[in-house]
Amino acid sequence: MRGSSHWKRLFPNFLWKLIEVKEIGIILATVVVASSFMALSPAFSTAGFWSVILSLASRIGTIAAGMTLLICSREFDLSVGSVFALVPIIAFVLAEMGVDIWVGVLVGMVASVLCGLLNGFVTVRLGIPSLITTLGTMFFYRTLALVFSIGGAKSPPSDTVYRWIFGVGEIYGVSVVIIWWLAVSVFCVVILEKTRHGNWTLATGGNEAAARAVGVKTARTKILNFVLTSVLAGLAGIIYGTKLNSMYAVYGIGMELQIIGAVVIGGTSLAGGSGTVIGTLVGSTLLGIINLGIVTLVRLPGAIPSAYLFEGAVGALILLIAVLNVGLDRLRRRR
Amino acid sequence: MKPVEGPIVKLVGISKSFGPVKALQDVDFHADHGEIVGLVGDNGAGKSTLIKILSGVHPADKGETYFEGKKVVLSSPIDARNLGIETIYQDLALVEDLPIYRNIFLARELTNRHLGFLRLLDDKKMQAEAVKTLGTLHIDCGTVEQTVRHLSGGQRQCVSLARSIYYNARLLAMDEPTAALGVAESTEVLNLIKHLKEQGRSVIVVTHNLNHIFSVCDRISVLRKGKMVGSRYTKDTTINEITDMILGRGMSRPEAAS
Repeated sequence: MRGSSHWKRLFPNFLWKLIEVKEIGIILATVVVASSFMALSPAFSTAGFWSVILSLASRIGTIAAGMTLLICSREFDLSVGSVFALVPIIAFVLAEMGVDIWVGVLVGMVASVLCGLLNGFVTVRLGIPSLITTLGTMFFYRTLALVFSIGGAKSPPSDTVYRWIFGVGEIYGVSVVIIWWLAVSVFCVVILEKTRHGNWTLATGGNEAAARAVGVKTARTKILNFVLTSVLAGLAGIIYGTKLNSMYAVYGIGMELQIIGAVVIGGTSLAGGSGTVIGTLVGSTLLGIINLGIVTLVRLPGAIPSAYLFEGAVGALILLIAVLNVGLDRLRRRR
Repeated sequence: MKPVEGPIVKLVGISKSFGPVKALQDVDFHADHGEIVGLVGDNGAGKSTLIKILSGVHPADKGETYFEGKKVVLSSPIDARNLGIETIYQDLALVEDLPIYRNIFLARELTNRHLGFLRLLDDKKMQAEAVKTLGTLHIDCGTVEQTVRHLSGGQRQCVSLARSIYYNARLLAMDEPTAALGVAESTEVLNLIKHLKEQGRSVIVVTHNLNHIFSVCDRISVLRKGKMVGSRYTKDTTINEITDMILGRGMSRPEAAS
């Protein structure tokens, strides 16, 4: 490769090794943002602050872990925000009608599987782009949630074991919400990196025709990833609804783009074929940091809530990190 | 391996249409044990379709397939592979972002059990086996953990071949194996093909390059507009005759070997 010796001389060896790490872009960005906020406000260094940040991150991150696999197989899902509202509403409405909450959760999770199967079958078997399929089901599932809840707030029953597991519990001071997120992330890391399904996911997203020619079941691989993403959206909805003690049919509107944003800034390629769940984990954390950082540190003139800036900051971040990742990719190719 | 009597694979009366397009009409084709057969024809003659039927990618509309004398149905690439028929495609063979060893074992991953139920990929074993198999092909592909993205055309062929050889392919169909390669790399691939024959395998080579066909093949079959024009032993024919057959000029000679 031309010029490789020149570039090699410019960076010592360990720096090259660092550049090869897929998640380096998002890790750098997170460290920079976190340390600037810490420098601006001493509150940012407290455990309480970080527990809020990680709780915020977990809402996005639990779903984003599954979305990472789906995007690796070259599809994505806009309906996650709607499934996020629909599944807990099904569970809570059933509980209100006297059904055991665990049965309600089971029915809700079955519904999330069906949502994922519908997304997958329409996309893969009928050959409709997932942008269209899941745009349609996004509205459809949202309407189902509105109808089931009759537009009102639905709350989980007071079963304490259920509430502990799905929202209010703590282990050594760490909220179960965060533990769910970490557990789901570890699960998705293992699936993507160490199982046949993960290998097929990367192969399907990287070169679908080649994968199919050697016998990879590309359709099944994609459908499974749609189901995984949908199930995690339902799970996150149940956890969030239980923690807040209520779920409205309008919760989670717009979260799908934050989730896809977290995946992309984490270093997963929207073109499929390459991705990292660890990057997504860090990406979700960065969104949490920025969310809380802006709300607490930025003061806008007049009565404008500074939370309004959050989505603008996320947008700027997506662009910046995309540029950073492209730059790192060029560097890697110079080797 | 000792040569065995009779063809390893035989296709009889194969027809295949894609909508109004008749890609193949009543085509007969066979390959003997340890034989290198060249399959030639102009663009659109049906070579790739025939290979795809042989490898189970497309089902034939009509016709029969025999493997070692037994009638078989090839309804998926897995059926073909289970018989020992492997196809190596020029373009759609490899996944660029996957490491070499993951490509070699794609769709046939080696796994081991953890905690009694968890099947995880055995990366160590796949890497070791990949190194061993690539070693028999005498082309240096570097470390097997690197992705395929940076490999040369010859190295890519080598990775594709390693995939087939590891599973003891008995019949290899190679679609345009030298199309994208330079002179040195082409020579390497042609040597690889001769290597495969020495190991007792049969090879079907699809290519436009008649010089390459004549330098490695025992026999040459010619397709023209979806029909089998004929088959000649390389030692009994000339580039001019094959060219005439491809173009459909002056077909006076009777079939020499079909």
